[in-house]
Amino acid sequence: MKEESSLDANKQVVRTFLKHMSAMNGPEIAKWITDDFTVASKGSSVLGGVYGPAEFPALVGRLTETLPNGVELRIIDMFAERDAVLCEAQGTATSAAGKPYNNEYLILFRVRNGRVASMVEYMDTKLIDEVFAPA
Amino acid sequence: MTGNDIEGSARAHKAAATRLFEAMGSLDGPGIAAEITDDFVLKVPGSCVLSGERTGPEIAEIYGFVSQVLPNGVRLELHSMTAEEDRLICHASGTGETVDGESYNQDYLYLLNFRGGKISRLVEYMDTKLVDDRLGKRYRVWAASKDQDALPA
Repeated sequence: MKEESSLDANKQVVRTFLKHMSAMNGPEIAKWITDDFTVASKGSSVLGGVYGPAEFPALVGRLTETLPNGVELRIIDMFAERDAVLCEAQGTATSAAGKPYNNEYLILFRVRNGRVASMVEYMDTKLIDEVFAPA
Repeated sequence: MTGNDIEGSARAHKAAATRLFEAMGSLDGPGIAAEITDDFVLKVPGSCVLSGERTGPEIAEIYGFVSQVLPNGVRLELHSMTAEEDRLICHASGTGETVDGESYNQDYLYLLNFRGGKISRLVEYMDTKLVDDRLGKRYRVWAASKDQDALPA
């Protein structure tokens, strides 16, 4: 069925994008996002907010500085409807200061013409502050 | 399953999720029970005071604490739902006020798993930092009194 193959294609776009996000590979990430791509980190953590194309490189820079080896993402489940792809994932990482950063993610993606147009991330905001803004 | 079956199942799951959230908002115990399986699991991911995986009496216990600290509940507004096969995601925002008069306005992404038309698991992703900021102090007092009650006479 045409719709099912389109949903599978959207899931594959998200898988590829996440692979490059995990490795913090900027040039490869850029190939898989739309020109108006936005990422929203939900909640009241120090990373909370909406980042557009102008702010995204600075966000990646901040993530790379704190998590120099990136985040190893294990995808637990992925499903799709229309242009939405939902991904449940477990992350494993160690901060530059040696703290474990093992967050759980539920991410809502919107895919347009084979590229990720937006990404809304829900995760443990308390853990974010403990690692990215230690007291 | 045909395309129509799949669409019908997604519609039915969205309707069940809507009924569950309405029942939760109005503290309607029988209404909640009608939508969930006997072995229903509630999970709050993360490291906040509400985090963990709970079933049966543990859910009633934590619900009792939340009702104390948010006496008027949380008014939920559902924004969107996405469904495929036996799972569904619901994006919602909540508005509430703590017993101490502080605002408690959350943004939720719920993951629901279905079995036999009923909800078997609900995973509640939210701002865990806000949970601890607004509910943490009272939770620690509540947990300590619970432990005290459990001590042998």
